[in-house]
Amino acid sequence: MIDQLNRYVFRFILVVLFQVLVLNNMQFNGYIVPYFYIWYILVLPFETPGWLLLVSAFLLGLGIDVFPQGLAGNGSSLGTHAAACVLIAYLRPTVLRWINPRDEYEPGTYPDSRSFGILWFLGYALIMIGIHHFVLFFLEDLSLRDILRTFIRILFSGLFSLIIILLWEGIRFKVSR
Amino acid sequence: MQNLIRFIIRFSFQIIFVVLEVIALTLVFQNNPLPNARMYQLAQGVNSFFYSQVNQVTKFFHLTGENATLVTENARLRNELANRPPLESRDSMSSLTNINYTYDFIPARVVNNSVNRQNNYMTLRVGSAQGVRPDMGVVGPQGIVGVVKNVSSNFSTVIPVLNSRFRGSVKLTTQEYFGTLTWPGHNYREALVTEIPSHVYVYVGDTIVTSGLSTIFPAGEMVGFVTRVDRNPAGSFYELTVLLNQDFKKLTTVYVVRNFMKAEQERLEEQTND
Repeated sequence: MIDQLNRYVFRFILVVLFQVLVLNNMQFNGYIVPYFYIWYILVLPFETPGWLLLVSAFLLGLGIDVFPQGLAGNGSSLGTHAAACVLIAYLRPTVLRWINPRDEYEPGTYPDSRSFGILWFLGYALIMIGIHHFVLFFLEDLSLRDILRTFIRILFSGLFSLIIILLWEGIRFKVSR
Repeated sequence: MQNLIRFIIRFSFQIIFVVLEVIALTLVFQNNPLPNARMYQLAQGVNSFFYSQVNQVTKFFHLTGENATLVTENARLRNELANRPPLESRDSMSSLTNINYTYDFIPARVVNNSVNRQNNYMTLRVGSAQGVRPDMGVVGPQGIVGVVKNVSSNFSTVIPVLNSRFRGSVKLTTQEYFGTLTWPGHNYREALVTEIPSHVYVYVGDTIVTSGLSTIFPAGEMVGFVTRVDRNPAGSFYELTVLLNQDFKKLTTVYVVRNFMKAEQERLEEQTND
């Protein structure tokens, strides 16, 4: 139990560092940033208690928020990732119930591509990334003035996030096998 | 009471969700990120330290391009030096009216910078210890960059041209008509110049420089080139799309502009306004 906790804390730190140090500096075409870090929320174990799910998602989002790219009085950016993360953590049990492959999730499985296959995971990740990016980019713009551009950002950033998360799932299970 | 406790236990998941979401949204909508100013400064200090370390590593990758920029800049300065009138031809009158005497440039390293947001910000590794104060202008090797917002003892933050709150007074080099420089937010290379009356002849390729009509920038600092000429809906003014000469993605060294006569000018202007 303690062992597993340690592993998730360690993973938390790695995910935040990877996002902040590597992906935040990858700016395709000016405004497309892949957000890989929500993978951490996606693959938390089924048995994670509700409060822990919400609190860890909040801390994860806040961790990304603390290192924004512009920090001077940038009130519009602090809290945006936290808000988006808490929302997908809240919706996670509902989403998992919707796309339940069988009647019950078997004990000992995780919501990842090894347990339920890459297609199932693709659908799951698509829904979660969609909700997350939608909230995130609308909070960041805080206006409906240029709605088309916001949608383009959601679409392309979401696509890149999805690709990176799926690649990582592929690498992870190739290596461990 | 018992019912209340039962209610809380039954809906604990929803309650925690609402509490955390309210905290996050409060942070988003508050203008001041952390109410406690001291905490904010601490966070800023930690952040600045963190980014200086990252910058220590990444700046090596930019050395080649940086050298090229420095060489061009040196060339420009040498040209300027060479083109100065000889000492004996400058009489006492012209040295008194020489406006550039008012300004002084403080070199600074960029330790944090963004270009992909609606409101971008930049952090410089100079602060009040090096003489930087809020509202000073910042210019890069290829053109103007922004205006200093906040200053700590060794760092300062800048509102660059790429921020919807930025306003700058600029003019055409061909004619002395001046307008306002803003950023519409689509493209980090493109800005907008408005308020130039439409009876002036403006062509694609015309050069835009700072007007010197504020105490922030000296006159004639490079801004960019006109790439498209439009008129505002009423038709009486131009809306000029300008390609910014300074590439904000390649910015590592900038100069903070110190105006020695700013206080004097502003005091006089305030008296006149009263």
